[in-house]
Amino acid sequence: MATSVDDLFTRAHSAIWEAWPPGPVVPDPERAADQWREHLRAWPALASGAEHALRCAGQPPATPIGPLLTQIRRLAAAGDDGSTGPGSPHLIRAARLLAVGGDGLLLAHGQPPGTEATDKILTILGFAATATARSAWTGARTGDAEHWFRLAHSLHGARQLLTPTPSTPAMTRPIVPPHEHSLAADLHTFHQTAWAMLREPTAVPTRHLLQIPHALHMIHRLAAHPDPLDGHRDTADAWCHAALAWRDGVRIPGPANPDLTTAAHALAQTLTVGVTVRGASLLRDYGTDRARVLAAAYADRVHETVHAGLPVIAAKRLAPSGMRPLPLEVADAARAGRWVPLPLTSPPAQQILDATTAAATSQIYQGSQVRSPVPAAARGRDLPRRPPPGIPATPGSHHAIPR
Amino acid sequence: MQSLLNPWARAGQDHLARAYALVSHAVMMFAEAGTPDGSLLAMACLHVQDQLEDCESPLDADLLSMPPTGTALELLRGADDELNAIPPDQRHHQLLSARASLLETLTRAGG
Repeated sequence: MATSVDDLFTRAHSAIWEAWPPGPVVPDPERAADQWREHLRAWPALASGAEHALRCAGQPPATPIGPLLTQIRRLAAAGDDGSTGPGSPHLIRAARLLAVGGDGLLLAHGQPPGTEATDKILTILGFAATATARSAWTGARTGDAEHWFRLAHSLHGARQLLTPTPSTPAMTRPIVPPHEHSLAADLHTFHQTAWAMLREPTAVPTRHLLQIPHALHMIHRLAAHPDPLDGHRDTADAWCHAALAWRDGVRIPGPANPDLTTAAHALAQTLTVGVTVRGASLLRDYGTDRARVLAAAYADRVHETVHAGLPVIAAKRLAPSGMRPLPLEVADAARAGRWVPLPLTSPPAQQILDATTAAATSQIYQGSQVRSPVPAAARGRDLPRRPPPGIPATPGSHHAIPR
Repeated sequence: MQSLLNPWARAGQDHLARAYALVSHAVMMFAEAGTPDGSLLAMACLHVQDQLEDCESPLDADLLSMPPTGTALELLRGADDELNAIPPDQRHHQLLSARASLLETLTRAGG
């Protein structure tokens, strides 16, 4: 999916449709009056969103549109009976989408959007005014309904005054770039990128290390989808727990790894479009074969990182986690809302190590035929596991991955 | 007292920090659902989180250590509200891209 300004404005239009009560059923008078007030409370936001979008579209405020916006605000204020409450969520949503669409026009460096954008904004406003007029009508406020119908008519008239200009790419240019790769290519790129990151020990792990458990969770979860009884479901659950172990204020304050985030995002984008039978087969093959390499290397990296005390945790989380005794400096840091290094003996650290080990040693990986290079620490050989410089080895740790 | 215990009740916090924390909690909530869609939405939220990090979002330890009440979808809507509260003249290119991705994720999640 590629989001463009046109997409955002179309969604704003759809949001207003949702504010339109389905006919021919007429809501009871009390509910209708509530809906009318909700509409009125949303209009200031809608007017601001539209004004911002019009400004971004290059529409000078002196045009006939300016007085119409003033009229909108006057009508909304005139109907305000002092009651409090939220505005119509649909109109508020439309207001946001209009404003973001305006922001999107600013992103379109180069050609201005021309009158196409202004025409669309006025169409949306006109439709919203009609929806509000209908709301007034069903709420038995005939006079108000007439005012809003007139406003809708004026907005339509303002559209007619625009001098049409040729379409420009500003409206259709993707804000979020489209992604069109094959699943096989994306899986390969993700694997290569993750492996490139994990294969060498480092004293400075990337903060994006946590993309790995989420990505493996996704791969196994989708691989399990057609047949939830196979081993992928259990492995997906294990990776889910491994990812969740980092929740609520535990993180690695390391450098970014843009290649990994790009590859993981591309894979997720492709899978979001849908998984074919062939795609599901690819995921299952990957999950039972090459994923084992990443799983083992990821677990190695997590063990090294946690034992080196590199992750940090919100100090406030340590006391509720059951860590005893709680050092005085941690209590001070908690009061000040600071981060502290994750203590190896703390329950959150143990949970991370346990969940990661469990996921990396899932049953599904036990019988896999690995074709890719495997780190020494992850192979079933009697090679000593070499920690990165400055990281003490932890022989006999009960968290060590079974070799 | 409530504002002392609940960091989300504190006033005057950075909108970007709040948006980042809301998206971070949404990542975990979607993952926790244990469904194919949940795992995909968790990945989509991770992408938004990365984009907000690129905007140099402050990482508030209190906000990140305590998820607010609400569903993952409500958290994402809250994040959009926070980004919407940033004045237009402070919305730079990266922030707009992050917001576009957030809206796309929201749409995909049914919001």
